[in-house]
Amino acid sequence: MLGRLGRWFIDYVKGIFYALGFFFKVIKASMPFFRGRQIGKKVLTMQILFTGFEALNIIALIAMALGAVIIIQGVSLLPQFGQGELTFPILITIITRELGPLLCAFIIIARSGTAIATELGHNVVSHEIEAYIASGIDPISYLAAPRFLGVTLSILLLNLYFNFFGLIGSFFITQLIEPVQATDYFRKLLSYLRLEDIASSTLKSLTFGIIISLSSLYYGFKVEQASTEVPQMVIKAVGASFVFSIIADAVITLIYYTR
Amino acid sequence: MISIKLENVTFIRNNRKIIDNVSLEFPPGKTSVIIGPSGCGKSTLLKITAGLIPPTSGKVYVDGVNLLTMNRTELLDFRKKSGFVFQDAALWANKSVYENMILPLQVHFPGMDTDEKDKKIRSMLKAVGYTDSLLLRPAQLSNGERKMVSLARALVISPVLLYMDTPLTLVDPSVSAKMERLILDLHSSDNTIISNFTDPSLTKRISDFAAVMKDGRVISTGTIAEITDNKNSETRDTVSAVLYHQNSNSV
Repeated sequence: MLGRLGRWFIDYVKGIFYALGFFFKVIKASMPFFRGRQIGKKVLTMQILFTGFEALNIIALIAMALGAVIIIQGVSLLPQFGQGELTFPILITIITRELGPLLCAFIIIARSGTAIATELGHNVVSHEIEAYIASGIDPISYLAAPRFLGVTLSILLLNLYFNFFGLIGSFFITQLIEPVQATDYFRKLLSYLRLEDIASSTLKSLTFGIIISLSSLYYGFKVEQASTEVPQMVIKAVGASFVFSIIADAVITLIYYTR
Repeated sequence: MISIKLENVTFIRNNRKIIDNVSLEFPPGKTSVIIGPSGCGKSTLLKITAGLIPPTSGKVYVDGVNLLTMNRTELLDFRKKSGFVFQDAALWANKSVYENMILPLQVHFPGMDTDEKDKKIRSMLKAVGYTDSLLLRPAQLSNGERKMVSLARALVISPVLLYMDTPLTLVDPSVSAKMERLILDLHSSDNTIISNFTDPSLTKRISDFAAVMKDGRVISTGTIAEITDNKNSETRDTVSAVLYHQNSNSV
């Protein structure tokens, strides 16, 4: 019993070091992309296309819906407590600082995190990874690094896009309830937007991008032999992405409020 | 010519010893064949020899340099000189036949002219007998065609060391004859070939050196004549089962 516990602990610690080594290798392999010396540029472009460009519609829809809901609730509830002027700060807090980055992360986990883990898992099972190695192509540089950069960059841009459409959505709903001049509306709205809000939002989406891409890559490569391992690893990738993103969100929010 | 040497190589997977303390030297410029019944660890040994799977313990030497501790430049140089034909072809599923062929050239010959790359790809595919479209994806090919493209992909960089993991299985006789001729051409040149052919007649014709495997161990080495006449009954039984089909357990 004690021996089994000891073995489990040793394997657990080994697993942590292996994961840390993997993350370090991916980050190191991503550096040459900034110097433009990689054959995986096409993989990077495709990843941005898939994670960023193809998610534009759903992000816009969710952002506009969220902006609209906040305005509807804010306009109907807050004046009852004499706090009607809080509508804009709440809009900024939710869209820019809190839910915007997190919802973007959830969408990316569902769309790209699962896709990356599944594709890499199948690559392992069908010996395609071994074929890359045999051809002198480092799978970390060619497959992992462009996906890591593609997902992280995409989520950063999607967060800006989410903000834009969230605030636009709120404006359209306001027009239906109580028409105001666009310039007046946005001047007032942006007067509540502070640099700290933008910094917090950007830091969150950057962190989520790193977490989602590394988790998906790690579990994708963790598949060993059977295709039945692929869905198991995808579930683990999704679970890890959600858990670590939520923890990171809580930590960054805590730092924001306690600084 | 490249020499490959294994020293006390052991490979354990899921607490099972797949390769058991193998020490072996493949003669440079010759064709070496790994012989043994199904599931004895031939493919795993081949992959360890090619540096595709790290052994649990032991060393693999390429021209006296440990393959597992090579730096990036040394490793890339080794890959440029070697090709690997996989048992299940292992073509990159999200790439067309042409893209499968051009990627190794882009890695090892970045300065090569596009027209030259194109010419090389087309002539290599023709040599293995592939006549279908170059734009097809592996899923659209037959098993035989996949094997042809896999062989062509390994040969497109003109390697001097070639690993082949049962290259002629699942290939129809006409294609097999064409691929076999190509392998015989490679054999007659100075290339080092390490393989585990399943065809006994090809094995007997082509091998300059053979290693007999059983249950993850190398039980005997030598020429085909030497291992056939080996006094050890375990070796004799394994060789006659695999090469002469005198046992139902043969490959």
